[in-house]
Amino acid sequence: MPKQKTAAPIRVTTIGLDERSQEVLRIAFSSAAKGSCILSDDAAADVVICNMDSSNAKSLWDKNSAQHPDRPVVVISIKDPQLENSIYVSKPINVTTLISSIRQAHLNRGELSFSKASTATATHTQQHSHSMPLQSRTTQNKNKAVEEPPVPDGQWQDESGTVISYYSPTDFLQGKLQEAFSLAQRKKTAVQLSIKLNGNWSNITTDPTHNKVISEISNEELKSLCTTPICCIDTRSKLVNNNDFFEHRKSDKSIIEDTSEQFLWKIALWTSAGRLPKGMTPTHLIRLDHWPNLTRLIQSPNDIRISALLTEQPGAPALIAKVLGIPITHVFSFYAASHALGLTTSSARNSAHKSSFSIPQKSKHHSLFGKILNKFSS
Amino acid sequence: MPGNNHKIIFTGPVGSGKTTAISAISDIPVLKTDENAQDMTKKRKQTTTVAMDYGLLNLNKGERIHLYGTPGQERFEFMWDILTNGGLGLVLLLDNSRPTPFKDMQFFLNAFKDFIKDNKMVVGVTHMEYNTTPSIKTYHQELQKLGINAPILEIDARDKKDVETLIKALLYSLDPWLGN
Repeated sequence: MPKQKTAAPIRVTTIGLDERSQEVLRIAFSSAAKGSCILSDDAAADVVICNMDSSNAKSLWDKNSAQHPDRPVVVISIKDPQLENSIYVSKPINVTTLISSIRQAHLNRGELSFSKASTATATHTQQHSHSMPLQSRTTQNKNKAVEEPPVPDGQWQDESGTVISYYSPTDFLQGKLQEAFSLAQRKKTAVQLSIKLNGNWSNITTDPTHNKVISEISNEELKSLCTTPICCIDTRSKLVNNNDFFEHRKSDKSIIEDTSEQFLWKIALWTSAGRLPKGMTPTHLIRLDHWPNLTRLIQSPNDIRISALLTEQPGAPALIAKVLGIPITHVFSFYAASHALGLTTSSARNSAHKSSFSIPQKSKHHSLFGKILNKFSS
Repeated sequence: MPGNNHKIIFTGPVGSGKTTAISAISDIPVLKTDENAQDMTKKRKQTTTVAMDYGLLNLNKGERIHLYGTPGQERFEFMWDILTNGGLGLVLLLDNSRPTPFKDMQFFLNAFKDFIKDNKMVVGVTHMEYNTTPSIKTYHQELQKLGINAPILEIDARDKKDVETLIKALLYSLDPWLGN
């Protein structure tokens, strides 16, 4: 969504939320909201989220109203407290609804009126149906804020109630890196992507001739960068002379050297963080063309099991998770990483049901194999 | 059940790391039947396996998995059928620094075709640090030409974790229900 790429993030503070809830909110803001909202201190906040179910909610509400009479408020509670000049979001909280309400509140600042957002259990379709009464009470700007993209983005609840998060790799560092890799392949020369970290530029250089990636950024920092929206990261890229590149390799000791596959795999894995790339759904068929070189790639939970199943026959993430008895987020991460390496093909043909999938048989040596695995993991 | 005859077979050409891989995971010192290498083999290593290597995985309640390494030289081919009897799966190790690793692969796939037909196999590619080509992807392409879709992983035969991952890939291929 282009407007999110250019707009400054909405600064959000909270009233009556404990640290754990704030941490959940922080993660939701960096993933589902793609950084369009950030948690900030009270003084700098554009919008406040007020938990009206907290023990001292009323006094906190009064205090906030007195100190920041013009600051938009999103009220969250189990029951609608019918508070003036606020937007109400019912619990349990649907992240997409909450983010949408924050955006709406921010757009409405200065012209506050009572309005109501959809409930947490609502699907996107239901949200649209809720937008009709909202239109009658709010301005044109408010309508823009509650419009949700038709393609799943952010969080989504499937029919079984499982919350599924979507993301677009191009909204994150992964997209920039893949662009750099692609440019390096086309130009047959090294490409350097520079990233501003704490005021200094750090480089990630891809060398297509030797199939290497040299990174001056630690894995810990990279992992954190992977879930930060690219709109919040300063980057620049340039072609690099191969000689300069090798000099750079010699001179700098604090670098991480990976093959292109190793690097891209870990970036895709960390960017996904259990989310599904946009364009895929949990019921789309995935085929794994061949096994990833798992001994040389960062481990992803249940990667060997998923590989074993998906190289035998195509399957949908929802079904793979069900058959293997693993969290669907593991399948999403694995798919995201395999897809980034070009190991998967997918089709929209639905395979959510076991009837279209040949369930593998348990081996007669099942117990024996289990003991071998136990030995290896002990 | 003590006294069982379950085994995993390690095969591959001379110098591909069969003895080393078995040593990496075996609970006992590997019993080797090395001789000073003669003929072509001597160019690659000083000693080579002439009968077989033997290692062991001790599981709980007295169960054991025998680890057998076949001799790498083709003139010991007659032994391979005997060794595969009762095998749970095949580990084919290929040395990427040899001149024609695909020919090696085809040779061993052909030699063990009856076993592979009824069982699963994994391929471990060794010495990729000395020779990065052919790539793992190319190995997959060659294997798929033969109608086989097996795990192919780069390994350092000295690295216990690498060898264990290879065996895990074999086990999950045999039984995706493991872990449930």
